[in-house]
Amino acid sequence: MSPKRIVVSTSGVPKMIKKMADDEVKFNLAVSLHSAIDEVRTSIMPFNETFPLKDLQEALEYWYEKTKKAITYEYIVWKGINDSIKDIEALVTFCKYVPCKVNIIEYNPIDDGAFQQASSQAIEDYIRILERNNIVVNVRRSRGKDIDAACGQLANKS
Amino acid sequence: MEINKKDIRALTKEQLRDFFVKEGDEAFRGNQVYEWLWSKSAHAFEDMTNISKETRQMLEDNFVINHIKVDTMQRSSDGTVKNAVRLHDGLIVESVLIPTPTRTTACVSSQVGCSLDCSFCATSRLKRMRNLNPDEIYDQVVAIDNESRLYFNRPLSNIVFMGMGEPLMNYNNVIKAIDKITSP
Repeated sequence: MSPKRIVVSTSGVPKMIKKMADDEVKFNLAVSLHSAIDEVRTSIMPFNETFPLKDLQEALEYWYEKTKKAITYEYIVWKGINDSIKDIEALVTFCKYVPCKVNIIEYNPIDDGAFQQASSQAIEDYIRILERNNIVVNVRRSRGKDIDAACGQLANKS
Repeated sequence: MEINKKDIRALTKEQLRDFFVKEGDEAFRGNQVYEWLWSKSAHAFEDMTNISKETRQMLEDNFVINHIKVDTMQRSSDGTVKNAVRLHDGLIVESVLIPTPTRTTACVSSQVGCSLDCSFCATSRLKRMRNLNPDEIYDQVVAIDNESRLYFNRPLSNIVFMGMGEPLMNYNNVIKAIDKITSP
């Protein structure tokens, strides 16, 4: 299989992204971004405290410099967490750093319901504003939700 | 002496060739065995039919093939397939086959559990037990490729490292697995 058909998806470990760039890997890179605002990202992805967005940005710029490969940002929009205009504007700014596209992923609820899928209005706002800024955006519908096979649902329950 | 047997798929092609030379055999025997392990996905030494009985026994005495086993397979109403995969030490990871009209994608795991603690992800509720070996990642891809051919009459077209685990926290093994997957 061609490495062009392989995607390695990371939550964003800056020094490893740089190492991959140095190793001249031929596969594609996706980053689970979910927020371009440090406080918000740290609240849902605690390791962001250690590797803040500034470090991630720098690593991604290095990656692009070396590989000339665009990056895919994986992004889920949750109600009350990252569904405001401010969140969208921060994402637009982040998307300007290196060539990229955004995949908006439908949220697949897990047990306790602390996270809820944002309104379709919020998703539409994301799409409209990203597109207005010439950023390619795709909406990824969930697959395999009924068997807990969808994104973020893998937990050895069968 | 089960415990002293080494996982044969942890060896590179060069190391396998050296092993056979050291055993007084030809180096190309290493290539033959390597091909059985990686191109023909042999699950047992006795499957290696162009290798002599004595040599197969010798391999049996020195090595194990830690092949994964698909424990349970679930099919979604939308065609998605999920495998619960049992590793040689009894731990379990999951991999997923996602069919669309134009492609079939394998979503594979890189760790048992995950090093990180993203609060929205179910995998983060599991403790990180260990990294997967290159062959355990490779085997997930082979298993899904077989299912793709069986259920959708086409080979796997894409792979995403988006299952359980943070792939960059198991970088060397992920790279080795990708090298196997992409080598002609």
